[in-house]
Amino acid sequence: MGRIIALVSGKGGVGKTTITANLGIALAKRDLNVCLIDADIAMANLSLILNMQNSPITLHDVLLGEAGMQDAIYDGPAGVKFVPSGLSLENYRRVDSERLQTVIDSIRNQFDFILLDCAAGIEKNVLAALSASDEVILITSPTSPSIADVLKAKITAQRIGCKPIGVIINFVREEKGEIRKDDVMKLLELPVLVSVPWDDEVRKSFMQEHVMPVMIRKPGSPAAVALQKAAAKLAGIPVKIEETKGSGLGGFLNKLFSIFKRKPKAAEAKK
Amino acid sequence: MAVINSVKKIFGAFAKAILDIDDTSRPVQHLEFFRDYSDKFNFDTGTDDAQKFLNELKKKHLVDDIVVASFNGGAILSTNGNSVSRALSGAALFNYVHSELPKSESLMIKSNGWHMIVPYNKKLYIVKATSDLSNIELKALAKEIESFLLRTA
Repeated sequence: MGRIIALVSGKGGVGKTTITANLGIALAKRDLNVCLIDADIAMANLSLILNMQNSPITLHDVLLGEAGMQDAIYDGPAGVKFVPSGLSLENYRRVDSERLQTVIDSIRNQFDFILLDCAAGIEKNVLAALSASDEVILITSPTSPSIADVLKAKITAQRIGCKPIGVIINFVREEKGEIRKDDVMKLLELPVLVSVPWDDEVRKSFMQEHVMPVMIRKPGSPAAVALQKAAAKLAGIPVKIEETKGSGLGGFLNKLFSIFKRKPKAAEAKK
Repeated sequence: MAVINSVKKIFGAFAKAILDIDDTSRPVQHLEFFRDYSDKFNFDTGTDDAQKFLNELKKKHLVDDIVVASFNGGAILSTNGNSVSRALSGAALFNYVHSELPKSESLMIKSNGWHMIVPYNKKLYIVKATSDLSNIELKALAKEIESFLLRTA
């Protein structure tokens, strides 16, 4: 029976969706059956991060009873499965998020991990996602406003009966004024699964013609490596860091030599 | 790559120290505030004493009153003194609505605060609070009481 884990933060903009996508891919790369569900029913954008925004059947249709859950599961990158949420505002108003638990329970046996990307805040849709999950991972950045909100998210999860299992601290820059890992652990009384460093490669992953999660585009980048460690910890398996293809000294030399190997465009055109 | 990253880190730390770029410091007052805040949300629901348990649950779920009743109006547990009348009127109200709307999952009435009734595992949970709780929150509360009843039976 799979583990159903909600990823919540309370505060918006701390990288919840990016972490959900990349953590799920990291788990899938270790041959685990993983399903990512966009439980942010109002402001869905996990599909954009996975570059799967054209999925015709969504969680909205399932919650409205107009489609079956199996029809809303799509093949995502690196073998991960994905259930998108709809972008329609009209359907969002009609959706009964309380059905989430029944719907997710129906696919529990198909996967090792089901990760739910939750909305910001602690409103109805977040409560529905928490109540559909067994465990919750709290996401925060190392700043006061984010910690204040994640504290409320933790209390809310406990109230609903969803067990908090750990914290992921995102956007860590090692600045003196950041709230330290020890402080976060003491305040939330939870282990820190990983501190994800600030990494420009994550931002650049959205700035591609074909958007691609950093775990696919640059698995050797610091943020991706941190999330591979978190995935191993979560699954209870040994850490196995995947390098970015063409990185390191070998990669640099290959790139350098490839400049000289390139044929002039004019010569290629003649061929 | 690892060597380059280490060199980068050393130079970064050196530049910060020399040029005093990092002028930040830990928000100690905020941390103290969070500690106080967090302490208010520690609830001892592991007790076997029904009154103590319900009072902890009231604080945890931010509600004013909880009455657990059977569908025929018998009071099972309560946080207040007038549990008999509240159990009777709550059960009568829910049974009436349920007879008219058989798919009713909960009943919520706004009248000088909120009065909410949710059925769970053959019992009715009658809750009074200053703000409304969602169905999910009401069920979570009922589930917690249910496991207490099973534990202490």
